[in-house]
Amino acid sequence: MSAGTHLRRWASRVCSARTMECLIDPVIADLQHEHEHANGCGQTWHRCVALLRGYFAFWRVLALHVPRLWLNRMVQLALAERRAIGRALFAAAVTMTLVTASLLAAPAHAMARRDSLALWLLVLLLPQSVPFSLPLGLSMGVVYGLRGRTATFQIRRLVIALGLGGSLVSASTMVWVVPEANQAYRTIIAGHVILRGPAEMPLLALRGQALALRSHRRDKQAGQLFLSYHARWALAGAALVFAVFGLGIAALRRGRIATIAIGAAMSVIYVSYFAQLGELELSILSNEPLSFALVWLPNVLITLTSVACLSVRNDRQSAISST
Amino acid sequence: MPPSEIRSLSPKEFLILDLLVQEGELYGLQLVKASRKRLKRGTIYVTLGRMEEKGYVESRLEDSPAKTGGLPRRLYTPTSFGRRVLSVWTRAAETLRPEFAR
Repeated sequence: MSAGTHLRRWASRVCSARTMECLIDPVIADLQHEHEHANGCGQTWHRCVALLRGYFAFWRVLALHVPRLWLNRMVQLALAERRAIGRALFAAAVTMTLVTASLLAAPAHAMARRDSLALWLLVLLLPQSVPFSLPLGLSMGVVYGLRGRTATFQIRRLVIALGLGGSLVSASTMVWVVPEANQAYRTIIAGHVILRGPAEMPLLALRGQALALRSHRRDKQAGQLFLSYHARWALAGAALVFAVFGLGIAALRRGRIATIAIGAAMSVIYVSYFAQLGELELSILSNEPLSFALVWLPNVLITLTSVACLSVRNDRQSAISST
Repeated sequence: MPPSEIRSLSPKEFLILDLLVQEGELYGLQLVKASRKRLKRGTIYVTLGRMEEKGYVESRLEDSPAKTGGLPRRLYTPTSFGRRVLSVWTRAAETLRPEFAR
């Protein structure tokens, strides 16, 4: 078997026939030609260099071409599915607004002041809602965008890309924005600079504090910090999980009310779970793997549910096509 | 023709066309070697693909593939349009050079 055959076979699965013809095949042909030429020289290092240069060229071509190709495809998909995308954006925006409003309702109600400073305080609380509102908005956007249509492979890939993007935004918000916004909020309320609490600590400092507390046998407090630390990562991953969940609900093809009910129920359960988790004061949680498992449990369960919904849909489709 | 419809010729495309006009027919790897490191083997085929879309070059697979069963390599030649574009750009560059040198 010639060098690069496996690479070519793999590339043919992700690239179009035109890309294979104009980009991949010439690169592989060069690789094979150089490798064959090096074989004639008989020196091992010569063969290795030829292979390395060929493989490097192959990956460079892919790295340059594939993002451009995917972007073009996304633009074409967006143009072809304008109405569905508009519906998805509208549903996502409404869901995000509702979730944000419901999360901010209690602090807004408790605020004694009703001036511009109160408004600024609410703005400082906004980043906290992003890790919840973004995933839930994504799932509802996916459900409404897909209403009455089959999720093709291209659409599924787009949804997963959106989920990954959402997770990145969530993670960035949790790591950089939320601690600073929380600290600014507390400083304004206190009227002077105060020490950072667990919710205001940067990620590394939070874990360091948890480890320090555990080493001093303050297991309850350490457990809370470990929960807080892992919850930030789990919430960052929620955007991807809920985007796939949106695909799962859409695949069930239930009525509009049933779909909203399923989505809303899952959202309430998810938010409540994390709210309850924040209240836990158990020394056993200083066991880090246990904290990790507790915070990731909802994501795992939702992913399994989504996969089950999607596989049920696939089974139904294959049963219909076989009859 | 409005200026926006005139196809551009990037420095890399200019170099490739120039080499192809001088040598006649070349493989991608031969172009890389002939360019003395000004072209990279990881980007040459992306540029050549773009030039084919613009109609500057055309390609064909080599006649006799390697004996070991490897893929046939692709040979590139300039089209008559590509040759005309190159000569126009060369003349334009020669005309403008004294202007930019001021």
